[in-house]
Amino acid sequence: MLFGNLIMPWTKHVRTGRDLVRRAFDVANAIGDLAYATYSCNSLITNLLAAGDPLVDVQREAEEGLEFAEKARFGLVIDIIAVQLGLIRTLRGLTPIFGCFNDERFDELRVERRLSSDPMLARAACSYWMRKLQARFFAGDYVSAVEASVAAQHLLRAAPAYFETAEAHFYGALSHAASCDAALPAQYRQHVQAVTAHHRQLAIWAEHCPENFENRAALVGAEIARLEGRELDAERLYEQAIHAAHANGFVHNEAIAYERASAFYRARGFDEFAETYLWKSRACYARWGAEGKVRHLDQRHPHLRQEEPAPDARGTIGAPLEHLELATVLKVSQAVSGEIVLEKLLETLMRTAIEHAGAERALLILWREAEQRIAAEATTSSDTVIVQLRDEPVTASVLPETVLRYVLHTQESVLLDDAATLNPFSADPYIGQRQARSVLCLPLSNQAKLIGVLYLENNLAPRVFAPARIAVLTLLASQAAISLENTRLYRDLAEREAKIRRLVDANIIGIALWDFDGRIIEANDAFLSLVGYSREDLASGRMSWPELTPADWRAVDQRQFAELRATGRSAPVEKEYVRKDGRRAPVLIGSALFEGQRDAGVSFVLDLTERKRAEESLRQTQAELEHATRMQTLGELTASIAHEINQPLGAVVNNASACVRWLAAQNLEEARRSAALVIADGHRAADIIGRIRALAQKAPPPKDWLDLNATIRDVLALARSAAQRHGVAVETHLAEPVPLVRADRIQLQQVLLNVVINAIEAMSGVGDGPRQLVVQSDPDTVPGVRVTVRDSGPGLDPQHLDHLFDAFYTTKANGLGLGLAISRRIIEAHGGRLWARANVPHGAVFQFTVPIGSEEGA
Amino acid sequence: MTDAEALVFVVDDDAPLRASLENLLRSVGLRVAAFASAQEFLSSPRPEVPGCLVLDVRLPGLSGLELQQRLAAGDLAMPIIFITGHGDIPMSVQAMKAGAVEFLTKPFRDQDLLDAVHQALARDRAVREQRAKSEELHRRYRALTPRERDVLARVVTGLLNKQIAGELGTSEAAVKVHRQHVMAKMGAGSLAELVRMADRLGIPTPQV
Repeated sequence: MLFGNLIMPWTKHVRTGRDLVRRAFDVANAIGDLAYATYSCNSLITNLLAAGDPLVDVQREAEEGLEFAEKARFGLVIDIIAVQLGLIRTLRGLTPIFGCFNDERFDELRVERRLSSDPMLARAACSYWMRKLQARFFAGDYVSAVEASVAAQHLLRAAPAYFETAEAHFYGALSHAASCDAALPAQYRQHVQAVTAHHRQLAIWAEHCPENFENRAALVGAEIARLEGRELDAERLYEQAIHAAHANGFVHNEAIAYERASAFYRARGFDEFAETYLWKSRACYARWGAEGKVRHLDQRHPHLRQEEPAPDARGTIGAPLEHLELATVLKVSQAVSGEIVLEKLLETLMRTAIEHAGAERALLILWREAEQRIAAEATTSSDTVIVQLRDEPVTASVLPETVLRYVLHTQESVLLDDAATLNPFSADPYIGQRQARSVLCLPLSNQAKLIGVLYLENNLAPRVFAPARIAVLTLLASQAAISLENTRLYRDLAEREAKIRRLVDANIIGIALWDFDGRIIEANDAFLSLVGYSREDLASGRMSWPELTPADWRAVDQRQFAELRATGRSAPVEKEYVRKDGRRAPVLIGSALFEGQRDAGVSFVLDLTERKRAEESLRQTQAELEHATRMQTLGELTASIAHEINQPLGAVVNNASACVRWLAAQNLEEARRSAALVIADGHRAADIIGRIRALAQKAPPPKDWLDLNATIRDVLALARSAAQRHGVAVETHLAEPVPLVRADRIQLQQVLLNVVINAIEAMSGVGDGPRQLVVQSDPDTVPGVRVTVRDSGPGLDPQHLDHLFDAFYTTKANGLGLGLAISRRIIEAHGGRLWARANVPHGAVFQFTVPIGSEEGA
Repeated sequence: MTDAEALVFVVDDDAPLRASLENLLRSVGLRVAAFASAQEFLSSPRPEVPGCLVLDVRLPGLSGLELQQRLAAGDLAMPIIFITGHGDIPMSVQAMKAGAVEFLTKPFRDQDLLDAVHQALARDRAVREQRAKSEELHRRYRALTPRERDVLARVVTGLLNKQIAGELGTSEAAVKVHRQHVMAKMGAGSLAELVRMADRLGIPTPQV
């Protein structure tokens, strides 16, 4: 390390020693010699700084080194590296004030006080002053630079061999030389003496190591020549310095050389040269990574900015001007066209315009309800661009209205290189008040329609808005116009979509999007809760149309799809879904296909559960009412029948009693007469019954060819609500085809309904066993049909099996006991049989047969 | 009066039933008069013999219960046995409260009807006897002379002959004679009997 840092720089190019220094660090670290390791760190940084390596890399090394030193708690090195880091940071523009180390971590005054208070810290103090010298020099604060130089020189004894010493001489010389311009005669002489002294040292070193020192010595020599008025010498030496620095890769020294040369030419009135050299200097600083210095230059010389770095790139360095323009154009174009949100677009636009154009201030005027209003204002303050979105009317105090009106009227741009000079708009009060200098006003038009105006000004300098820039700005303007239109369209679209979204999310009605593959693409919460699925189910793609529709509703689905394909929409129709938990959900559903996308569509689904429930409740009430009415009628009927029958029965009893008494009185004649009366009364009773029966059957029962399967289905439909209510599952096994039978439809319906309802009611008492009703139809051996109804209820009491079909036999609390008796009579009237037996494992089986019958049969 | 003279009235619009009732009643030796409606019954003459009425509740025109009320209001009251084809409890209660003897539902046991008829006839006989006695008493009273009536009125108040003579302004001996005539004409065996008769006749106490 020692060799690398202390000896080699004096004879060989700085960079050659670097590897040694690095190796020194590795070895020292490996053997645990922390002191040496940390020394190596700071040596490395010195080396990097002297060599002009890209500052971003140097900063990283410095930060790592500082961390290492802090861990090693090596105060001296910490101090040294801290200052090095300070220099790097300020050069890179990371400190608030360029050229000053002060920031959150560093306080120059405090450090200086500490270092000067302790003689043991001389080495660190020396290092500090050297770096401060450099910093102040770059910042152009030559007074402070000279002070620092002097301070450093005093402490030089402590660090004679370090390469920083060389730098101290170099920068010290330059600082003194630069101070001469503003110096009083007495000071002037001192400065010249100092410069000369530094130069002598540099010249000696240059002899021993031209790689490192030729450029440094030459530059200082150039300065001396300048001061002595030897212009040609100065020119030559500046060139030498530039050249030597460039040849040896010292980009920072090249930059400094260019800069000093530029100042030299400017002072002598060679503005063109000065500009060129200054530009070149800026480019070199940029290459070095000294953003802070670059910005510093730009502020002093605004026209220097020929390109604007893209919002997130700081790396356009060293490329020729034309290439820069194209890249800029592309970046700008992309940045502006990429924004779809209005606020962000405005901000990007304004920032781009200011940075690219080099304006101090920019205004964007847009149309708002046929009025021109300021939509945004951007201003620069120190190095930052501040964009503020506004909505204010245009007034004479914010921009020159005459310029604006001209642009509005002609849709042409207006450029004033120097508003202070005489121009068509000189009379505008704004120009006089604000002392406007560079003014540029661009129209923003899209397809020949003017949608806004961009106003730029820079009142610090004239001719800021270079013609080349204007071309790019015009492009920017038209791009912006398009983008503004787009944002407006986008916002309209977003609003429309929001309206639709509100409908969907209001969850008044279930809405689902689907495609013909059966997938459900999207659904709102109302739909999901209707079918009992979660949002995760939807997202995972587990939901599909076919699954939601139970088998018995598939036909309805087919019809709907056919209608959709034909007309693009399907009218609302009732159907049922099967929910995730197996329950049925009655719904009303209407659908429509998407325009253009003919294989996907949207459905609106209304939950009918409540309505169905209400309907069911109504039906039940009606049924109960009918039943009650029937019961009442039956009661009335029974009373009437009873009365009718009691008459002849009473007569029978009386006559028979009389007959007995006549016999006792041995009056045979009267006895005979009485007996005859009894017989007559009995007949009369029979007649009455016959009349009553005839009353009930006013018309002879209509017999027709009947499909028993259809009858079974009808009856099961009637009984469905009862089955659902009692939780009974109904299964059918109907033989197809089944022969037609000649029968009274209503009577057979009655029989079936009676048997089925009996079964359902029997099962309503079953605990948690299965409640299953099975209805079967088969052709019978005697040509006809056999119907079987099986249930899983408690079954029949074997003791009462014989009485099952007797009239008035019932096990129900309020049953008449007529159902089965009547059913059997009906079946027997049709020529069939009705019987019952036990079901396995439990329950009952009722079967009846209906023969085909004939035309003549009754 | 014997049962043979009694007459049972039957009112029922059902002819066979009417005939059977008639048959039954005759078979136990009762005389029967049958009618098809309440109106027919009312418009036919009523012989002066013990009688009762076997009446169906439901009749065309005037109903059984209405007939009951009409009879009770008038002077033609006779014991009623209701028969009906319906087991109507409120109706039966109403009928019994209004004084019916029995309420039977068809078809009834023959014995039940016969028992009720006998009971009714007995009641009616008793009523008639009572009435006949009352009429006899009145007839006898009417046969008294005014003076005899005066004496009668005072005798039953417990006055002595002397007092009566004083009130009437006649002699005690005359009063004694009148008293004897009254006793004979009225047929009273004792003063106590005479007092009872006077009660039954409702003779007012004379003002002194």
